[in-house]
Amino acid sequence: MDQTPSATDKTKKQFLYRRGLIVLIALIVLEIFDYFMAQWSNGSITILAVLALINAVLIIQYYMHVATLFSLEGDH
Amino acid sequence: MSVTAHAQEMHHVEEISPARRLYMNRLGLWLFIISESFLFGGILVARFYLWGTTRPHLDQALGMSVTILLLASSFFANRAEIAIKHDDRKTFLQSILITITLGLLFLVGVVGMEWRTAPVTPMMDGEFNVYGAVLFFMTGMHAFHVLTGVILLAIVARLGAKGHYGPTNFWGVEGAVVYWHFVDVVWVFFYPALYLMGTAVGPVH
Repeated sequence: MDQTPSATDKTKKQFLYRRGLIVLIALIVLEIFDYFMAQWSNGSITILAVLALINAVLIIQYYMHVATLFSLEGDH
Repeated sequence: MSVTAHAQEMHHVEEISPARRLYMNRLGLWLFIISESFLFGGILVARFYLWGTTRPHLDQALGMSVTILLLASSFFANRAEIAIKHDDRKTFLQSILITITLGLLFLVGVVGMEWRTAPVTPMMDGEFNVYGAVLFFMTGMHAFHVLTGVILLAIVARLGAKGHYGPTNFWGVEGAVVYWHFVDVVWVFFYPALYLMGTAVGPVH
């Protein structure tokens, strides 16, 4: 499909905004799940630590763009 | 260092490409973040050593609310970063101001409300109260970093309003935003450690 540079840029921007929103929803759902898992497992440290780790990985990967550390590209 | 050597070094510095400079900035920030992780990791170890498999009765609704506020602030910080990289200054400014507001609301929730209502006192039964010590140290150290992030974001917002940043000059925004996300990552571990892990003991909230 033939697209102008500005149209491509806009599409990319929309994609990144949408991805950010999906990550936010996933994080909130995981936090609520955390709460109910804590009630169910009587505060199991192992289960809650694993869930916290999943949350952290989502933020580090999609919000902190850790992958940019391994490339010389200017953008993410 | 001789004048010639100094001149050669300066010449070398000028040869660094913008992409390479950005990479070095990112590497420096991540090294800082790793060093900060050791600090917060040590605090978490202290929590498990002193509290073990117990925790005080904290306000669960408040804990969940401030967590969601901080997660939402990370979303808007990410949005601000994307916006400035795509030259969308209006969205950038809106998003960065929302991030600051959510960060301040988080501080009000933790320092203004949780500290005031937490069922812990400096002394409990005549003994040093480990519940109060750990709670105030964990939340206090984290709140101090949130406050630092708010100040950084306010500086970025002010510079951004003056047109300082753009698609080719975004490191200031990216640096402040990545720091903000790190503060969020720390809370993702602190929230369950304070509010959810172990059995609630002591006075009820």
